[in-house]
Amino acid sequence: MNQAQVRSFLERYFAAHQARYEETHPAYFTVELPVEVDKDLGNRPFYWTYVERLKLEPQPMYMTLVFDRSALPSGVNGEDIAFGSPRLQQFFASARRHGRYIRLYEHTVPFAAADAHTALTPWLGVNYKISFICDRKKDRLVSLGINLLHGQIEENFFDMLEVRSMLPVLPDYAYTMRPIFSVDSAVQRLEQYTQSLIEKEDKSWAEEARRRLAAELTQTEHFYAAKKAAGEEGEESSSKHREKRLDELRWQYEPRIEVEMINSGLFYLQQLHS
Amino acid sequence: MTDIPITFQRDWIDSFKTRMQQDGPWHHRELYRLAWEAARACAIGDFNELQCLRHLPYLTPLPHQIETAQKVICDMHGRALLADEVGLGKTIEAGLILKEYMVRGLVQKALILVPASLVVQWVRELSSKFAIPAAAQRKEYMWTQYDVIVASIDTAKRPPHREIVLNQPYDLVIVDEAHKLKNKHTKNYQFIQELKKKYCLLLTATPIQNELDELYNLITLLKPGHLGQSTQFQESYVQGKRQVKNNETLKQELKKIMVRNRRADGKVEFTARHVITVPIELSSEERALYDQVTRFVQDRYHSDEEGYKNPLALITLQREICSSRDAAFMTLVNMHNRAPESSPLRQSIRELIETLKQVTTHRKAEKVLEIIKESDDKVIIFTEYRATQEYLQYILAQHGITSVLFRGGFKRGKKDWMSQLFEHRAQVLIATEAGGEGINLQFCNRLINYDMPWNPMRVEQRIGRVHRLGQTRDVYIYNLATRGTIEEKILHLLYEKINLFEMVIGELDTIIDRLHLNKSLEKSVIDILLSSKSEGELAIKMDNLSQVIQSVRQSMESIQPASDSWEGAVLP
Repeated sequence: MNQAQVRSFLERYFAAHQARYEETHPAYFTVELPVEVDKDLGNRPFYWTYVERLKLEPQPMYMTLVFDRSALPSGVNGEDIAFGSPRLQQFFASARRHGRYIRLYEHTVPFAAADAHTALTPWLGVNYKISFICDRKKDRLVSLGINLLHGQIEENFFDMLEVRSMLPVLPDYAYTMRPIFSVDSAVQRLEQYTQSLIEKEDKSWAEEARRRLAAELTQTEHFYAAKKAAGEEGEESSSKHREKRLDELRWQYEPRIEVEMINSGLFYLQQLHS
Repeated sequence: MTDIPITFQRDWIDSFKTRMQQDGPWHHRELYRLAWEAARACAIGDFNELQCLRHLPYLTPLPHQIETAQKVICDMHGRALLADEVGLGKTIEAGLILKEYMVRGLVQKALILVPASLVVQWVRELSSKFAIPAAAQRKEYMWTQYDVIVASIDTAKRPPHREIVLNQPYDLVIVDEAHKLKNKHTKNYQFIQELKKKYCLLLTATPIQNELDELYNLITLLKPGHLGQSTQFQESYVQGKRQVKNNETLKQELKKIMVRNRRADGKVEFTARHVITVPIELSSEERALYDQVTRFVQDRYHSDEEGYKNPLALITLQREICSSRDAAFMTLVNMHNRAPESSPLRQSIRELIETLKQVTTHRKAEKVLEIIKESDDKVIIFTEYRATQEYLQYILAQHGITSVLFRGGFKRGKKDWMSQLFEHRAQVLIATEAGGEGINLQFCNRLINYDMPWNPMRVEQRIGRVHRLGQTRDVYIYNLATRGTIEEKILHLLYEKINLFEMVIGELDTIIDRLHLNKSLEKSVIDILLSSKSEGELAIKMDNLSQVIQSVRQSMESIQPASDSWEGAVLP
């Protein structure tokens, strides 16, 4: 993310929270933290306990975020923010916490006949991060959607929703159909699908890691065996060191894959025309 | 290969179902989008390519540092000996590697073991250059509470810390000044051996001090078995105490686990450093004032009278009067107010203040103006006293010279802002402290030590602000010393004798580390100044101190022939 992207991310974040700007300038902005953001990022839990216990009027906190220090007018104090700064990570994490589960309905245009209603099909959408891990790591993001009526699975589901017009409430002249798949079985199918995606990935990283691991395990075994033969170290401490070292090697190299759920939603959509 | 274990996160499913049943609460769509976009921005698309660079807005690492980080992560798989020569930025390399692993989520818990004197500096560098929230270990609970912790090995290896530290696994362990681990029979060595660690970095500029065995021990600590059995190693490579055989094979093996960048490789260029001592002749009224203060200080120090007799404050007064009248003035006022009403002390302080007020000349400030006006270029002035700092700004302003102030107490943002102002709008920066890491002042190449700290490390830090990697011009350092005063003594007896100004940045660290002083160098100097009854005694004692420092420095150099031969023959 460059500075313009960071700024636009934060502006959208604050807009979603309906925050009020105290000041805006090409180099910085000052924003009054909405209560829920303050509780999330303001780092003053005791204050909030206190205010809520005593039912006081909370004093809002202001945050000045600086995007371009060289163009900052004198007299303005603020915090630099850029991709990589811990503060931005906090905003990322906050978005993750408060943008985790959603439900949306597709906006439908009523038919000419006043009593014709549109049926909306339920979909479960899940955004996954797949991490391929050994002593190194790579991620792949996938956005999947499963039709809860007949189990059809779509990739790039997030992007597909972006081009549709969606509403948080059921539109007039539309009704939702009852899902046939339960959430559990839908998730199970998505996991199977994800596994099949993983199967198609290049596996050389894991093979290489296993080769390295095997070679180092052998080397380590030899080292401690020879040490033992030479009587250099006491039996007990030598085997303790050996075990510990072998464990470390497995910890370092053993290939594994972790799939994390970033966010998910229930979506009611008109027929897909794909 | 279908047998790579896969784990799915599932703890969210119940929460999702509950929301379906209870019809909410559902989150905001925009935040849903932002969460996914953040995940996209942070995702690591490639196993090998360094990601951390786009996470480091405050740092531009040098090519050899980036190359080293890349090599350690991709080819050495996170276990390596970083053995760059002094001044090439081993700390930066280690920081890059730590950051890279953190960005990738491969390191969460990291332990950084450094000499006690460097703990604070490491914490500062990690936070300012790498935005890594590291904590200096102070309390026992911190070992478990903090993810990235910096501590001294001497603390960590002792109970009750030892058990806690050995009981938890560390994703990454970094040991600075790792030549202390050259002997495998020491407690330090065994402690590092016992630590449960995934990745490990050992940092030292001198991987071999005397014997090849030392290098063997360091490598074996990183990867037991990499250089084979100890006896086997001796047979294959060692021929007599200082001779190597089969060195090409050994070099190849070392290359797999060790990085050594050298100044001579031409990857980094250091410009020349010119040190200029500027003697200042006091005017007669200044001289009279200095003498009067000196008499006052000595009288107080030797008087039997109870009351105000804090030796450190007295010596400070003497130093302050060499700096500026403003600096001394506040101290005198405080002394006066603290003395009992009836004390004759009050009277003599008032007399001093009277003399002080009558002095109209200030030779030192005049000299500063002269130096600044030699060119239109930027200058940094360092002083120990805030009063002097403000006074200098006033004087400069009167002569139409723009300046900005810089203090230790400033917050990060203000420091950045001040250095920006200095770069773009002012000619002079007047600082009371070296400014902390990450503040880049390389665009300036002239530095005035307006007065000298008594801690050589602080002088080194001052110089390090301008004479560092990235400085493109020769650096000029002006040391001001008023003739026939305590200031001149310090400059001459301490700094010039130990050749501080000729040292490479980072060298002093190692020297002080090996001095094994009971107290800090600064305290030792103060003690000598206070306890000496005559000029002669003072000179002898200071001479002794500087000789000790010199001899440590020489002993570091005397191993040079040996390590030179290692250099070509063994080290990759």
